[in-house]
Amino acid sequence: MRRTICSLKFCLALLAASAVFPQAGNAEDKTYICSISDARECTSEADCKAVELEEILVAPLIIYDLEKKAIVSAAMRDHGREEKIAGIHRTPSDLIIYGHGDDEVWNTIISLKDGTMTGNINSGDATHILFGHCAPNIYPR
Amino acid sequence: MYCGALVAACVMLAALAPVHAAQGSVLPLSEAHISQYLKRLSLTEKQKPSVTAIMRRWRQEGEAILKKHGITGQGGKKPGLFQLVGLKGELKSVVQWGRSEASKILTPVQMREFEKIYAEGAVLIRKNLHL
Repeated sequence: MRRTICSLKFCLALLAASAVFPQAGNAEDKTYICSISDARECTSEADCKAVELEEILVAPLIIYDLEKKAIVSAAMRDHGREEKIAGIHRTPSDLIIYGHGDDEVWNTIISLKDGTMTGNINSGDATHILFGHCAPNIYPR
Repeated sequence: MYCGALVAACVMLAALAPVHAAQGSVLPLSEAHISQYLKRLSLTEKQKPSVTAIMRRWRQEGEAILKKHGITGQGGKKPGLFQLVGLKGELKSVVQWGRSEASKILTPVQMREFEKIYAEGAVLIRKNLHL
């Protein structure tokens, strides 16, 4: 039963992230849910190429919890994996979020105007670029 | 029908669990696993040592990479959200080496089974990493 409720919550959140919002976000929003639609892998040896999210083991749905300073995977199969947010910077038009793990550094820019997002994960040998769309998360975890 | 499949899956996982627990690795490449794979590949006596060596090297190098990234698969701790991105790239070169070596030793039919074993292993690794 709990699993069904959780799944429903994820589906609703996914719909929220995919929907067109008149305003994608404002200064008061504490959590955002982002649907990742596209990923590229870039190395110094070759041109950037498209990669499947499954191939690079990144969840297609990510929640950015600015209050708890964490980002967490929220896909049906891959949920609950976290990274700590090291810093947040707001401009009138964008939200910039960044952090690092032991072996990688990452950042995300979310447009507060239309919700588009680009992210980058730099792991030394390669950098991976993520593209997606975010919306304020109306179903906080 | 659905329940039957579920029970079969549970029985299969229960059978695999002790092997993983004993080995304490996320890689399904314990000696018991390798022995199962060798049988499935229907290898000749001449092929066996070479394929065993490939799988043991996969295990050795794979575990070294996982250890470097602090991933043990034990304690039910999930890896970080982006922790596996770099890891995947490092594992790729080891996997490519193994596939290339195997293709020199195995027949096309055996190679198809080898790829099948690899694909099943990838699913098991995801499961062991709690993904």
